[in-house]
Amino acid sequence: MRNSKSRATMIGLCIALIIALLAGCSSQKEEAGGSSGASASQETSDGMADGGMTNLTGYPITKEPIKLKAVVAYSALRPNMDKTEIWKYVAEKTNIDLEVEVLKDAEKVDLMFASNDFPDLILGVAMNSNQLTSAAEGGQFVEIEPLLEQYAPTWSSFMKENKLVYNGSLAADGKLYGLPYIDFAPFDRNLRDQWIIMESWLKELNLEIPKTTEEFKNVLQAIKDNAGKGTIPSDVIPYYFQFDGYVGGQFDIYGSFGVYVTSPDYLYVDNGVVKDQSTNPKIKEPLKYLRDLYQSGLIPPEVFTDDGNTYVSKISSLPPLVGSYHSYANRQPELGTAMGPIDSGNGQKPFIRSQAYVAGPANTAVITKNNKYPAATVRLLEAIATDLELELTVSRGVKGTLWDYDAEGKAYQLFWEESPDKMAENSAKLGLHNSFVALKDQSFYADKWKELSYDVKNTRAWAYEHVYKDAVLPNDMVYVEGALGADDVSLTNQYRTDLTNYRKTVFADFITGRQDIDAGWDAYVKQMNKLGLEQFVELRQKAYDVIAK
Amino acid sequence: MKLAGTAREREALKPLRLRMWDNRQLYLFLLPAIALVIAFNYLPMYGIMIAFKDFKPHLGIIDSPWVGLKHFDRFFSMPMFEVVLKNTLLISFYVLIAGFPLPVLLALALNSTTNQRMKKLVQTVTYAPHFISIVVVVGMVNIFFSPSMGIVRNLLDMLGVHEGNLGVLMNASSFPHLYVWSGVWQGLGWSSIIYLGALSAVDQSMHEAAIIDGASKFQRVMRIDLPSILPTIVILLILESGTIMNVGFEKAFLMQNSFNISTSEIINTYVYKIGIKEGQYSLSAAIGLFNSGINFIMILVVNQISKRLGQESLW
Repeated sequence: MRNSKSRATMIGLCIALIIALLAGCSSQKEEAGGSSGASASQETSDGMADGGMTNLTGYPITKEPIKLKAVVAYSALRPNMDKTEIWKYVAEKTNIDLEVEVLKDAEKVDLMFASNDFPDLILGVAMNSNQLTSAAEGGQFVEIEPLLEQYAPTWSSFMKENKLVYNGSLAADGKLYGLPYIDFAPFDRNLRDQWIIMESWLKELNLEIPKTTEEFKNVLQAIKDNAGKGTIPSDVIPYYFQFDGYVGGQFDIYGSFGVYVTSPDYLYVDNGVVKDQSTNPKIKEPLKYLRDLYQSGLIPPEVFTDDGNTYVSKISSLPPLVGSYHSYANRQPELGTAMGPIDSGNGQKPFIRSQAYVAGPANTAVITKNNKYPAATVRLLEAIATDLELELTVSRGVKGTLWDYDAEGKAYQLFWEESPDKMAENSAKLGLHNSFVALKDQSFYADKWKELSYDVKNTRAWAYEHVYKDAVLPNDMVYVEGALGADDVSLTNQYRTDLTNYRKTVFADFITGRQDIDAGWDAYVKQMNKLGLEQFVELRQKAYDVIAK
Repeated sequence: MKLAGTAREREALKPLRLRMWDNRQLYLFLLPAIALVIAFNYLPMYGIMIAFKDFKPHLGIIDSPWVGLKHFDRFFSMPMFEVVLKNTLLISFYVLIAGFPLPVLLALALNSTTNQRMKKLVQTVTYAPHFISIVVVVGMVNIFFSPSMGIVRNLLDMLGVHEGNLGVLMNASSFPHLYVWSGVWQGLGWSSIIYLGALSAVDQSMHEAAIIDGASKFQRVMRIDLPSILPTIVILLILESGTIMNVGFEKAFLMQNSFNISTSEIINTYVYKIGIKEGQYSLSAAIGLFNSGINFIMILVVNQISKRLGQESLW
């Protein structure tokens, strides 16, 4: 008797467990099926929105203090995004208290999307297009465009005028769910890598900064020949890059020979048509040049075997170890300087890579259906775009510590990422930079901001102004992409993996001389086509059309 | 004719229910373990069905549409499928063949040494690498074998054995060796612990008897030690063969460079590149299920072989 009773208890427990599990699933389902909440923002007749809580103009944004939950992905440079002082400033000014949770790793972000467990507002979490589209399909996000028209005229007109930003932010269903981080500083957007050469060594050797491929080779040879003399170390690396890395890679060598590449997939845009450069016979010339440098011992074999961290540590070495390298920032501003793309003498204009004026990144503020105050949230985003003090506080950090006003009323920087020590010291006063929205467009740089670094030699701004301004690839040649549907994305990734694997191996063989470039070329092109190059370029064109339409 | 059996035989004749009741305290001890296995190993298994569905988070597992074998089909029809499968199998069998016997040998050797200080020293030295993380091990491999400025290259250069760049990292064919032997170096000592444990259970009187009979050290190892730990070896071999498709993702991924992709692209790294990054849960689940299927078949086969040969088996 008691035996059967305990068995019944066991079974009962099991059933309870299963029911609890199913209940968990179904309650989620109900939430998912609920209305998208986009309509929750209707204006009421008394000039208030969000059910009377939100003022339509001026500060504070809401009549009474409200709390919004937000999440943001962790950034090592700004570890205290949840506790930073700027939220106090925002709350005092707007009555909106953002409770920010930092998601420590990408898995936590994945989990949020897989479980539909969203806060009120999603800041920069680097969501991919599948995640965005899938959550939007499930009615989890609030379409933001109608709200912009109603409450955020600045954002609304900016998005209308900047098609690349607008189209690049759309989900695959063609709707807008979030606002981007915009920084249109020309020295940031209009230039990819600087090409650094160790000017101090050139001075020791009485050499000029090279202007042609021939001169570049001679300079590297001179550096190698003088290893161990003066400040040139005996184990000097004359020329170093991270093979096929879009940051730190050898792509500007191609550009010097007129083979312009504006995407890590060896693509560029020619009058709206996406074209492949990896099978363009013209790329044989720069490949031969690289082979020549490799065989002369001017490029070490480590360019093919080192990982990104090793690359960065070698180019950042002080005293310097590398004669010339590619990098976003000059790693030895006291010793090295920026050199332009070099002329190959084949009649093609040498260009250095630029980046398009796209969002960087898109969707750093996405309102979810859990948000009870969508109008107030959008008004906050608008205030960040229009109120300079609020914008810089949210974006850079506390006024007086990170930035300040000059006599003309323009804002200028006190310190930023170039001073990692100060960043660490003041980490509780930092803003969110590109983890949240900002609108630093051309007019921001023209009217509101004073960039001091244009006059400081060997900063990126100086290099752009004095070395690269007239040598950057035109923006319309830069490959940019919009969101595709899930099937297209997965096909693209498959083609990309196969093509990249094969191209990398063959180009490495070409440069190291294990395969003859001319003899091996046809077989290489044939295999690339077999691996789906044509279909891949078609898919890339489709993604380009989404953003450039 | 047996009229009344022993107490044990009589016990065995009782119905199961009564026997369970008699041993209820023991069954109570078993309960938490069973509950854990059910809650964490069996119930989540219903999630496997997303391998046959187009899983959409907002629809949930149950309501996502069925697509049959679509994801398997896609995986098998990928142009690189054969290459990555071949690379995976090559590395995993190599790991098994090179990595399995060595810890046994080390344990036997350590067990036979009379110099206790030497034994302790060797144990410490061989255990230490186990505690180094994969990322650091790969970093060490890359730095030591760096083609133009690695320690190995410089040493060989100094000794006059080798000139120019060291090709180890630059040849696709050397990837499996680097992968496997760095793993052996890292895991050798740690894996030998379980055999040392088994060896400590060997009856010393057998050794004493063998010594009196004039058996040499080697003969004693072969006739006494090895047969005593054979069951442990066989069980571990069976378990090991059930992980044949689980070639470490991190290590292979970190060790990849432009030269060795043709041998270093394994199923896990390939799947990572084409799918998982983009949240394609269904495809990833399908490939994971495929791997588990192969692992399961391997366990069955090796277990059966072991049984046929009259050795230990799992069931």
